Amino acid sequence: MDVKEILQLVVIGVAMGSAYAIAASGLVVTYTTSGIFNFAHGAIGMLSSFLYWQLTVQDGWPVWLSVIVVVLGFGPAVGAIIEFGIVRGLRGSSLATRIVVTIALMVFAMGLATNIWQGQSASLPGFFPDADPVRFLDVALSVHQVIVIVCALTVAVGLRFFLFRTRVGTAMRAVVDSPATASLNGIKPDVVSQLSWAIGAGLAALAGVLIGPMLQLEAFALTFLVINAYAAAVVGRLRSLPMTFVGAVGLGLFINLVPYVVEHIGFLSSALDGWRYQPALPAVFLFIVLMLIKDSSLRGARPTRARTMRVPTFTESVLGSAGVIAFTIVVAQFLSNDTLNRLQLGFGVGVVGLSLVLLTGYGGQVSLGQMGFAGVGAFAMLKFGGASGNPLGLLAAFALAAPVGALVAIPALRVRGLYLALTTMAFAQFMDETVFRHEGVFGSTSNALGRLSIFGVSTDGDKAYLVTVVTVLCLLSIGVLALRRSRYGRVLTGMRDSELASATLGIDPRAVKLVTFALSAGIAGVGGALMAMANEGAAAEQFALVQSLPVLLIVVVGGVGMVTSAFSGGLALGLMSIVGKQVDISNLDLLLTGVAAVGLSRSPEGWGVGLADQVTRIVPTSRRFAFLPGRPAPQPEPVDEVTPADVTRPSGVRAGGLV
Amino acid sequence: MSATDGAEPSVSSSNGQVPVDALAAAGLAEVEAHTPILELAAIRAAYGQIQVLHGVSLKVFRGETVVLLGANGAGKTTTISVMSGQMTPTAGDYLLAGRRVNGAAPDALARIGVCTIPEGRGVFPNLTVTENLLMASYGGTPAARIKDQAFELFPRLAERRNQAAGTMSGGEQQMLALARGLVTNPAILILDEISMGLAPIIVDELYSYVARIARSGVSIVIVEQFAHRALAIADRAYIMAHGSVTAEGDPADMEAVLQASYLGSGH
Ligand SMILES: Nc1ncnc2c1ncn2[C@@H]1O[C@H](COP(=O)(O)OP(=O)(O)OP(=O)(O)O)[C@@H](O)[C@H]1O
Ligand SMILES: [Mg+2]
Repeated sequence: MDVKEILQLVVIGVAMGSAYAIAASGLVVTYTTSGIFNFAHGAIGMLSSFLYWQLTVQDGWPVWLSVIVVVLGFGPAVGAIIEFGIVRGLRGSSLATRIVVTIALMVFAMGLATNIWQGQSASLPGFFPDADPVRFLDVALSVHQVIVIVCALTVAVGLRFFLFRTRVGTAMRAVVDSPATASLNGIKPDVVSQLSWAIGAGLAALAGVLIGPMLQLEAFALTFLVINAYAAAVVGRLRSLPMTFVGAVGLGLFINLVPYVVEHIGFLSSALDGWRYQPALPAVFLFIVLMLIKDSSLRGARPTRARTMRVPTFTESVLGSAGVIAFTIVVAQFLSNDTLNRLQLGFGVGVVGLSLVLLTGYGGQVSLGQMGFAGVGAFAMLKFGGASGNPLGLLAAFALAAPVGALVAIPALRVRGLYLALTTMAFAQFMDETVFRHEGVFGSTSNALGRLSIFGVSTDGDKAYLVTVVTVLCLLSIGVLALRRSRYGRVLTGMRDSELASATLGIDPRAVKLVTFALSAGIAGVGGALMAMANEGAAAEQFALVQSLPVLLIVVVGGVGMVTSAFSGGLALGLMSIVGKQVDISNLDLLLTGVAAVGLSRSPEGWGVGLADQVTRIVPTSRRFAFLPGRPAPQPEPVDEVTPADVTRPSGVRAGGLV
Repeated sequence: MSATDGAEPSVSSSNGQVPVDALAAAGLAEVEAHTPILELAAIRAAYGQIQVLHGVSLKVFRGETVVLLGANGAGKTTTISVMSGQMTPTAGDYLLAGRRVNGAAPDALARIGVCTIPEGRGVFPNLTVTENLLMASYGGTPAARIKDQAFELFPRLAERRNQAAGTMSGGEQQMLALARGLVTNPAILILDEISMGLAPIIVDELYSYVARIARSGVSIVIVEQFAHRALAIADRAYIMAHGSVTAEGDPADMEAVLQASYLGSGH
C-alpha cells in the first residue's frame, strides 16, 4: 500500500467528482422543475467543450471571454430554446415519449458535433496550464483541478442560496411542488420552467468546459460521460442536491480507486485480465446505486393514459405480412447491392425495434439497452450458426438473449419508469465497453458469419437476404400480435394501465414483467443475429450503446403501440443510411432524429398514430386493407383517475421537493 | 397534444389576445355598480370529450358574497376552474368587469386580483410557511406587508413560520391558504370547499375570517358542502346540478330548496 499514491488518487477522484457534481446538479434542477430527464444534458456539455475549444484554441479568443460566452451565453440559450421549442409540448405525454425526445436531441447533438468538428480529436488545455501545481497533503494538484473543485463548491453554495434565499428560486421550488397552485399565486410556470432549463444547461456547459481538459475532446465519449452525472443524480434520487454532490464525489472516488484496488489484489487482476472494465465503471456504479435505492412511488413513474390501438386479427396480420413480403421481392429486383445491404441492416434493427413494441408499447417499460441483447444474439449466431448459416443459430440467439433479458429484469422488478430506463442503459454501456470488446466475444479479426441457409437454400445473395430479413420480421410480428391477443397480452396491457389493479386481480406483476423482458430480449437477440449476418460478421460497434438509442426513437416515432412501427422504423433507418451516403453528410441519421424530436413534441404519440387516424377516417373499417393499423379502440369513459401512485403516495407531503 | 391529454385540466398559457392587461390597468374593483364584477354567461366546459358544464350562468356583483351549492359531481369545482383560468370554456363568455377574458392564463388572472383558493389546500407542501407567503407576493402585494399582516391575523402561522407547510395540520394549512386571500387585497376571492375534512370548530374559525374579508368589500365566491355555514354569510346563492344552475335566490330560499331536495332524495 502506498499511502501517497492513494492520496493522489483520492484527490483526483474528488476533482473529477466535482466536475460531475456540477453536471449532475444541472440535471436535477431541470428534472425537478419540468419532470423531463434531460438525456441531452451531456450533449450540451459536449457541445460546450467543443465550442470552448473552437473559441480559445482555434480562434484565439481570451479564456475569460470564451468562458463567459459558453457558460453564460451558449449553455443557457440552448436550455431556454429546448424548453420553449420542445419541453412545453410534452406535458402529459408518456414516459417513453419524454425519454425519447431528449435522447433524440442528444443523438442530434452528437451528429452535429461530428459534422462541424469532423475527426478533430484534439485536446483542450485546462485553465492556467503553465502555472505550478498546488501541493496539498503532500499531493500535487494542477491549478485546473483546484479551479474545478472551487467551482463545484461555488455552484453548491450558490444553488442553495438561489433556491432558498431568493424569490425566483423559491418560485422554482413552488412550481416543483404544485404548478397549478403556483399559477394561482400569479407565478408563470412557463417562465420558471424556462429559467430552470437555462440554469441547468448553463451548468452542463460549465461542466463541459471543466471536464473537457481532463479527457480527450471526443464527441461520443464526452456525451456519454454524463452517464456519470446520471449516476450521481440518481444517488440524490434526482431530487436532492446535497445527495447529488455526495454521489458525484463518491463516483469520482469509485472510478479512480477501483482500478488501484483491482491492480493490487491478485485474483481480481487476473480475473479481469483482458476485460476493458474501466470504461464501464460509471455504469457499474449506476447499477449498484439503482439496486440500492428504494423505489417508493418515483416521480419518473407518473402514469399516463396510453391510447390502445385496435389489434389486427390473425388473418389480417398474415395477409398483411404476405403483402409486405411480396412487395419486398418485387422491389428488391430493382435495387443495387449496396442499397439492399443498407435495407437489410435497417430491417435487422427493425426486429430489435419490434422487441420494444412488446416491451414498451404493450408493457409500458422503457429500455434503452436493446442493442446489448442484440449483441448477445449476434454472439450466439456466431457460435452456433457460424459460417454455415444454420437457421438454428437464430433459435440460439433467442435462447441466449432471453435469459440475459430476464437477468437484467431483476432490477426491473424493483425499479420502474425512468430508473428502469437508466438501468438498461447502464447494462448496454457495460456490454458495449466491456463484454463486446473482449477478444473472446466477437474476436479481434473479422469473424466469418454465413447468411442463413434454409433447407439447403442459401440466402447469400443480397436480394434473397433482404427478403429473408423482412420475412423474419413479419413472422415475429405475427407472433407478437398473437401474444397481444392472448390472455398474456391482455394481462400485460392491463398492467401497463394499473399495476396495482392487476395485482388485486391476482396477477403477479413481477412474473409478467420477467417474462416480457425475456421475450423482448430474445426478439432483440434475433434482430442482432440478422444484423450481424447482413454484415457477414459481428462487430462490437454494431451493438454499441449509441446504436441502442435510435431504436427506441424510431419505434416511438412510428407509434410504439403498433407493430407497424418496427417496419416503418427499419425502413426509415435503411433509407436514411442510403440518403446519407448520397449526400455525403456523415451521421445524417443522427441529425434527422433531431427533427423527429421536435415532431414528437407536437405529436407525442408518434406520427404513426396520427397516420392511422387519417387512414381510418378515409377508409371505412370494413373495407380497410388487412395490414393497415387499426382504429384506436373506443376510449373508456375517463373517470376520475385513481392511479396506483395516488393510492400509495400520501396526498400531503411529497418527501423532499427540490432540496 | 392528443385528445386524451385534454382530460386533465391543463394550465393554459397566457397569450396576448385576452384583455387582462387592460383590466389590470383599469382596476377590477373599479367596476360600475350595475355591471357584475364577475359573470359567467352560458359557460360550457369539458374534460377531453366529456362535457361537464352545460351552460352555466351566474353573476357576482361588487362586494357581494355568493355561494355555489350542489351535490358531489355537480360541476362546482369545474366552474371554479373556469373562473380561475385553469380551464378554458368551450363555449360561452367569461366576463370580468364586463370584459371577456376567455382563455386568460391563471397567473394573469391572479395578478389582476382574482384570488383562487383551490379545493384541497392551495399551499406548497415542501415550502415553509414564510416561503408560501412570499409566493403570494407575485400578485403584486409587497412581500413584507403580506408577512406582517398574515402573522398578525394568524398568530398560529407565526409560530410555525419555518415549518414545511405540508407538515402542518389540515386546519393550519387551510389558514395559510386563506391568508393569501386575506392579505393580498384581491378584487375577487374564490374559495373551493375550505371546510373539507376539517372539524366544525375550525370551520367556524375559518368562516369568521371569510366574513371579515367580506365586510372589507371583497367580492367572494364560495363553494361549499356545509351549506348552512356558507349561507349564513352569503348575500345570494346558486344551486348546481349535473353541470347547470338549477336555482338561484337569497340564502334562506335556497336553504329551503336544498332541504326539499335532500328530503326528496331520501336524506
Ligand atoms: N379531470 C377530470 N377528468 C374527467 N372528468 C372529470 C375530471 N374532473 C372532474 N370530472 C367530472 O366532472 C364532473 C364535475 O366535477 P366537479 O369536480 O366539478 O364536481 P364538484 O361539484 O366540485 O363535486 P365535489 O362536490 O365532489 O367536489 C364530475 O362528474 C366529474 O367526474
Ligand atoms: Mg369540488
